[in-house]
Amino acid sequence: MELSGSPKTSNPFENDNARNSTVEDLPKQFVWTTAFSRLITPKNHIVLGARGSGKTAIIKMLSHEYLSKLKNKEATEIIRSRRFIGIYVPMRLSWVGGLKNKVWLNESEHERHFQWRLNISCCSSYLSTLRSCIDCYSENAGHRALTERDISERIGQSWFDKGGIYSLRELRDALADLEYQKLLNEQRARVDLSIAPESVGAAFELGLFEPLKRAIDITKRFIEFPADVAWAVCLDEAEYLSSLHHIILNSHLRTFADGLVFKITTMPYKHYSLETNTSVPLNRKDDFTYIYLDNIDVASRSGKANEFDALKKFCEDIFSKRIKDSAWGASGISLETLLGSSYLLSNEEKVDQEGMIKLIDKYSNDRTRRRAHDLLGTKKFDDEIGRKLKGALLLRDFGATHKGNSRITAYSGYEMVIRCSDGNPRRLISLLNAFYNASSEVSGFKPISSATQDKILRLYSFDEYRRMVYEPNQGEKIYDIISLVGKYFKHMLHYQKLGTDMTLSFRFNLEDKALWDIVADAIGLGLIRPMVERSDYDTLPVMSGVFRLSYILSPHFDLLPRRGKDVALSTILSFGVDRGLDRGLTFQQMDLL
Amino acid sequence: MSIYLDVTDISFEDVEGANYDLAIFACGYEERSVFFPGMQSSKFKKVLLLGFAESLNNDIFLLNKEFYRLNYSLAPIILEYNDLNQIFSSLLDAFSGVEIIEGMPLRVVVDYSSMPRLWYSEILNFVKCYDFGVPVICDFVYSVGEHSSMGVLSQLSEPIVLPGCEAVSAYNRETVGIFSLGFGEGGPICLHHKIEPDRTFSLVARPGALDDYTEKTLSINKFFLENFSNGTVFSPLTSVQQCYDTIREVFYPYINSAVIVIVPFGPKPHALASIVAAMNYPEVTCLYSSLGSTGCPVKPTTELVLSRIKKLDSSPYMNFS
Repeated sequence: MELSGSPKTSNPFENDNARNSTVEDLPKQFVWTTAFSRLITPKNHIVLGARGSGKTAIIKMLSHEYLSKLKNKEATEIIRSRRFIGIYVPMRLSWVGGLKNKVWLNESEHERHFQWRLNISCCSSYLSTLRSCIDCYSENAGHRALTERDISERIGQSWFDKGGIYSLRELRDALADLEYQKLLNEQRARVDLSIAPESVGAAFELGLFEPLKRAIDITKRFIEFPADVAWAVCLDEAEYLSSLHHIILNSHLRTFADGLVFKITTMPYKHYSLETNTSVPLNRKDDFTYIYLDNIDVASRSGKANEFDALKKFCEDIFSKRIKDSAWGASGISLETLLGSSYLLSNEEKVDQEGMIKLIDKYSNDRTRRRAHDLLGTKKFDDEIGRKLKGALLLRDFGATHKGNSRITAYSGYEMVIRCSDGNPRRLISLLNAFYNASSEVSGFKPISSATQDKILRLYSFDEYRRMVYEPNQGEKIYDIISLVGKYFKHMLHYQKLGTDMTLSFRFNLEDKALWDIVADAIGLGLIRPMVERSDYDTLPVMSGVFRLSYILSPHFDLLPRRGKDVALSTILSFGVDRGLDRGLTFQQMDLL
Repeated sequence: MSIYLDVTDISFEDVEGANYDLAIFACGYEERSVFFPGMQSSKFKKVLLLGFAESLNNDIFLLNKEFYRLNYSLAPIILEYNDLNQIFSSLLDAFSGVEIIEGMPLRVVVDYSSMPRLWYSEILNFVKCYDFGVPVICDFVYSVGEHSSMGVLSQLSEPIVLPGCEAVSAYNRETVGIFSLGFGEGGPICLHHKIEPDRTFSLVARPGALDDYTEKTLSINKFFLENFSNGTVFSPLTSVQQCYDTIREVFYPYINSAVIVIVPFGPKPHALASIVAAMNYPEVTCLYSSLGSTGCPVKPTTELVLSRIKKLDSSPYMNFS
């Protein structure tokens, strides 16, 4: 497994974010999922996913620029058929942050400003798509140059009402100049009433997506597309927009026109409204479909036993894609050999019945003890007691017998790392990156010790926990509620007698919108996971339902990464009041309890 | 006409005895907010005094308020730190009352030591956009401070682009982030998660306000520097001009190929340089999210950082850009 060379300089896990992946890297690292296939259709979709769930990777890969680089039979066919052309439009915080600072604009001025700037942004993004289409569908270099010249000239006329633009680069520069002039005029108009910002770039005032549609029409004159081609506007990171912006976009989801469809990514609960600018709101089935990405486990499972298999496959796929083009491509290395099996979670790591009964006598409640003794010596003991309780009892025993500064290695092993990643690609790659960097080996990629894995998982867990406090809007409250829930579960696992079902999830049972908003925001950040029903896994619960902490928080709270049985949230809040924990949160809830 | 803001360092001699048409001060909870006004080293024809709504019951704020009452016969105009409308109307009122003499430059002095970034960004934006009909010289004064607390765990405010600091989106395929680092660990990490730059640079003050401040900044931001930053540049706290040049050197290779996002969590002279850069370059934006006030006193070290910003009709670098 050891390889020569300088692996530290070619770490295959260094980039954990699709935003930073180049057009060369991302197609090689991309794992084609069912959700991705669902998106390549002429329908409107809103893609929901927590931070790090792969929204940007998916939406970027939909774009013609990236899809055309994917070495995959389906992708090649889609590009060849010209039936689906994706345009990737990032709506970055640095862009949206500029929409939000204009407190002096009234609502209709805000709307006009947003439309104007989104038009520019879409047109700028379209130029990258156009580049890709021209490159893909031109027969030779000469044809390519002529097509670029013809299309650029006509788009230039349409957008800027001027000639002399003969390349996509010139179009982009002209867009930049126009946008800057507009921004300056908007600021100047605040101090000089004689300045009218709308006088700049009138073509982009026409209506949202109109300049884009015009550019597509021009393109179709020079590059042949089938009549049923879908032009997919892929708007990334819509969670940064406001409700007003969503209402504007919703209006376009209702009116399928000119082959334009929309693929919009946002965080769970961050599709702020179903309203439109007309009197008719969006209809979930007729106008668009939600695709919830965080349910890789639920979406694929055909029974409870397969839940982990789906997660495992997804993680293995990510790992092997990263390894394939690295220095270890031919080494036969696997995630399992690197991490070893988990003492707590692997079914292969057995504790004999004698050892188990001792732990059960020590830590379990009367009922479980009686049942265990009844079944002792039978296969049923392993199936109904041993397998269910092993992890919890070992973890409990680790905690109870742990002395001083001795090292614990509970959070290690293949199954543990996969569970703690929660099917979140960014989290998995970050962990692998940390493991890689922690290796003292400069000449190879050796199995990672349990102690190192434990240390890294705990550190990563703590970082996720501690840093949530900084999140704008509700960071402090999210921190409070997760802290309280985690401490409650820890109390139940480590200080109460255990049954075969551990309490590791909670049921939202309060009529408290403010508290619900905190839970919803935590779901968006990937810190709480809803238990979504398999029958309708694209529907998120609202003000009800069962939730668990994200498994990455398990190491910090010394919890088992299992869903377990649920407890009412009101019980957890009462526990907080009784024990003086996270009082800031629980005192607010006193009147509800 | 494309206005360019030209920034240079000046000395105390340039300020001492100078006649300013308008002085803009802030009355806050920091002791240093009265240090420069208390020197009475210059003459001010008119003074605009802004006060923090959040600090009304703070003891030092009350002392500072009393200082302005006694020395300038002024009460602060109280405003929320993010109330751009009120800042704007206060500026409009103040500048409307300034006598413009044809052929004579308009001279303004701003003590931004205790001002939120939003305020002095809006002041500069106003100066940039308003057509005064005469040349404008705007001197920025920063009273270096000694912080009594650092590294407080607190929630960030909603990130917004500072006024007049928006970038165009035409080159938005990539993002380059320049994070000016200070004494808060969480802000840069949280915003880095949100901005997700393709390339990240860190800016640290060296030398800082006090001898150990550079080391403290590097130590507090160790996680950010090790995990997110592709490179660190240093620039002295005491030179806005040098900091502006340093920032420009960092982002210039990416002009026309990426959006450059400067996140000014570091000391205010670095924030001022970042704001000027964002106002001068269409591809550069300055995004900020406040960690809120610590409420802790900041004593003046008695050192001043003095900078002059002039409005030019075009960029002196136009032929090179």
